[in-house]
Amino acid sequence: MTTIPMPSVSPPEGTPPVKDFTPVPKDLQASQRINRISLTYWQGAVMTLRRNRAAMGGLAFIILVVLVGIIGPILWPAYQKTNLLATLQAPSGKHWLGTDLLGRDTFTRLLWGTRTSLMIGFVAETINLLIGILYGGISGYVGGKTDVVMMRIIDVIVSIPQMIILILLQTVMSNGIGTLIFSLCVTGWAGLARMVRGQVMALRENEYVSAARVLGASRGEILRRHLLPNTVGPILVNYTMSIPGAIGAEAFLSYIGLGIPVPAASWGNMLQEGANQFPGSLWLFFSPAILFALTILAFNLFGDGLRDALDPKMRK
Amino acid sequence: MLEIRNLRVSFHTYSGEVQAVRGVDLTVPDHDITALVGESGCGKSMTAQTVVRLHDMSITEIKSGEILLDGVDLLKLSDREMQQVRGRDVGMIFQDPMTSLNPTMTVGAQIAEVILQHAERDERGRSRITKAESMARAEELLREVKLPDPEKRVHQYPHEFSGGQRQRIMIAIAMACHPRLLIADEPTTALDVTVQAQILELMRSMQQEHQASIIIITHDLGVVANFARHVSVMYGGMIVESGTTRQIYEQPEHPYTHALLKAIPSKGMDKRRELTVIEGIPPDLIEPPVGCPFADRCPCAMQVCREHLPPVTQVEEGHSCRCWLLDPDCPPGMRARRRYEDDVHS
Amino acid sequence: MKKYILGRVVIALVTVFVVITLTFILMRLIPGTPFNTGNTNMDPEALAQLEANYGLDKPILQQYWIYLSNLLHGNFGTSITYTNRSVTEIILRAFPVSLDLGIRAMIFGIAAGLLLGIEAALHHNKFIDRFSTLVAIIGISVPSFVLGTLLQLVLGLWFSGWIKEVFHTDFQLFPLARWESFRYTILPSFVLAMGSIASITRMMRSSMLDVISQDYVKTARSKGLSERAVVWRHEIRNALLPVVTIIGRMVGGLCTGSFVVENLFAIPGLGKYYVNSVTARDYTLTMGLTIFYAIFIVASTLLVDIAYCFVDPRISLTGKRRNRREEKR
Repeated sequence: MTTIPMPSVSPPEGTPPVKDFTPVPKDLQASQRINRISLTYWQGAVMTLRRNRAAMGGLAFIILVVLVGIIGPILWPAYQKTNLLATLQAPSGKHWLGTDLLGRDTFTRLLWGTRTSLMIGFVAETINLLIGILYGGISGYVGGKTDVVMMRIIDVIVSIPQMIILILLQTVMSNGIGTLIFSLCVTGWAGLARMVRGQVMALRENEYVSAARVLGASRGEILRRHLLPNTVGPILVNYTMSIPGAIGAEAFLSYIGLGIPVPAASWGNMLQEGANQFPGSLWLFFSPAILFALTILAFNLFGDGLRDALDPKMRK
Repeated sequence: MLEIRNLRVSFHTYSGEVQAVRGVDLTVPDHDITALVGESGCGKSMTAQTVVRLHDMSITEIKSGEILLDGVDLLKLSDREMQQVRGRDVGMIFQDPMTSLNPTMTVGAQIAEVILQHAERDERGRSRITKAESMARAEELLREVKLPDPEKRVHQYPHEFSGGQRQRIMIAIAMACHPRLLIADEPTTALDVTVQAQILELMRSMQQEHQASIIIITHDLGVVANFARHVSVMYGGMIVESGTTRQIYEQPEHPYTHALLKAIPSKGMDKRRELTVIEGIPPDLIEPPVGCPFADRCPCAMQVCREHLPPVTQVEEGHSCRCWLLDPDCPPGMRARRRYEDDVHS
Repeated sequence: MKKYILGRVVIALVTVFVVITLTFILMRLIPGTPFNTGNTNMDPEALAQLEANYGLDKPILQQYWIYLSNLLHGNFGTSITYTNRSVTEIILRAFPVSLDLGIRAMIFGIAAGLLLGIEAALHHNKFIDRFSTLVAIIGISVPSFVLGTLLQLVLGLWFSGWIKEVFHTDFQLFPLARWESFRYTILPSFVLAMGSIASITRMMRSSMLDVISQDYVKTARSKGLSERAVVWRHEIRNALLPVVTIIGRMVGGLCTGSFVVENLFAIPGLGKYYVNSVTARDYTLTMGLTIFYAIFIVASTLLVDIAYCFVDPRISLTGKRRNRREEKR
């Protein structure tokens, strides 16, 4: 066979009754009329995020917990009030989540604990974020030898197990919120700094940035259209995902008796107190445990959703 | 030997169903090279992948059609039977040699793998070829695709080769079991211009040696000219013109083919003439136009083109075209227009 | 590749040195000594005698040099609370227990994590995928002390209580504490493994999904390989590579996890001694164990990184992994 016989299929959908051979102009708009909705980067991200029910649930829970942490202690201020006549009481109408060994109201303490734990998470990670952006930005922007030295320092810092730093500093310094935040920030920024630096370096060399520059995009435009969406996304995701880490570190330290000392309330020291009563008075352990786990879950779900939403490749 | 009849393939995205292939008819003759030409998104890769069932099965759907390889309908084969066809009867080469080889296996092992898979087996299902024999055969194949030092290179990993060399290895893999058909999906697009010709030459010599057929998929009519015997031009999910290479180059009928040919730079070209571009973009195949898919960009579009899909017209022996200009009722003046350099309406 | 390994070794050594120095400085910053916290009414002479015994009366710099040279000889000093027991002795005694627990957790974590991750990716968006996502998210959200307490309560107390009632025996399938026979190890190993299961599942799943969309997998299919060969030889093999690196990082997590798990289940491992030494202000023990942990974690990360060099043939050339996602259809 050497020929390609094109099977003479009859014109699909029947031969047209009227064939109108009048010439018509090109319609280039028609070919560009696309049926898909065209969105900007941020619109697309927000839309994808909104459609992700798990992530939105996570966000709603985070907002709720933050509000509880802010408003709760104002409405229920008496978290230190002891009542030795009503110790270790089971949940009741008077004490919604029971009372602890000294007769303090668990519900009130939980509200204050929420404030403490969230504050530690947000403050510590925000400081880490700022240091990380500054350090990574400088390292990536300056480049050369400075960059090499700065990155070697980071290599060493990230190799130091963080829990060891946390435990050491808790041992040496007086226990409390300040020490905890400080020790979370001693090495916590290094990972983020490395990431920021990587982003800055990649963008400096990336072809699409050069392409934009060649095409005559202004500095501001490059910053707004290329640098920001590409750096802010990963940084935001990293920030969201690091907060549960800090909250968890507080809980862990307080649980082994190092973090926030009583009578202050935090999720960690409430868990410890609860564990001490184990297996009695289970509400003492499980009320902070459940709230804690749900909060970590919410941050993770939201962070996952955020990462997917900010990555255009994950959208379809 | 390979005959595709009225193939329709869609794939599902969040935006809707994309009708990527909308009734393709294609015949690939024995021992010959056929080119499938078109711009990206016209459905040519989809057509080729459907032949060997390499499309993403979870989102694609074959609506209708037959794919006959020597009379056997590949679409009716079970997955297991299809597995036997791949590699043994049909070999494939892909566009990007940098990513088409497994980075953690030596190239020798990657070639030997296909030989072992399709080797004859004894009653107990064991391969009649030993591993050592298959490696020796792999080395031989590397020599066949003209890679220097095959005895050494057979033990190296893909990252130790250049793009052109990797494409040679891909050819060795594809031809390892002497398939009757080789499907090359844009085999030279990712390569340097100087390497392109070598790869095409190698493919041709392998094809002649093994008495195979080749379908080459490309968007570059320049690549086709000296390589393929037959050309089918695809646009908007359908074949708009097909014929021998000579017929297509010397007597193109479809305005799209005209436009494509005008877009190729050539040596004897007047230096002052600018390369013509085809204005506009291809139609969105989620809601394909009812009429001719090219109508909106066509310099000689007529009302009928917008309203009705043109039928396939036999121009001469082996040359057919899907265009209203070839309709017997079309005024002859219209047909002449597509040869003009410039758009009639501008 | 040599250059890469050398670089990693240097960084590891510097890290260990930094930790040693930092530990020393921090420990000396603490006001008072373990024997003199300010409010004891101890005989000053006896106090001085005690301090001289532990070398606390010498100038700081000298103490530092003594400490460094002792470390080089494998001498981590003498514990203050456990008198007459050297830190080395405690390490030698308690570390095997922790190692046993850690290895059990690691084997379990790697096996379950890989299995879940692979199955999830192979059945993307199916039931097993959602299940593994759930396991991963629980493993990440529920800390070991909550999970451990929960399991102690349900399996250790309620379940044992039920057994006692029904079978009239004191036999406990999941004992609450101690480290004796196999059944004692089940709960602690599981609790400790949960974090690793979660992170390996996640990592393996996304790595598999990435590999599945790679061109070379399509090439493998185009060769007519059986599905099993495609999955094992081409997909899993390549997907494992990035996961290997997190196994190195897991060691650190397992150590911190063991602090909690060993306390929770009263297992006489290193983590229990560590936490106790911190609360008891046993400087020498804290210092020694901190340094031991640092060396252990840094060394295991280093080993995994070096092993990775040999597994991935590309790293010897570029020092980095090439990872490209093809967006072609």
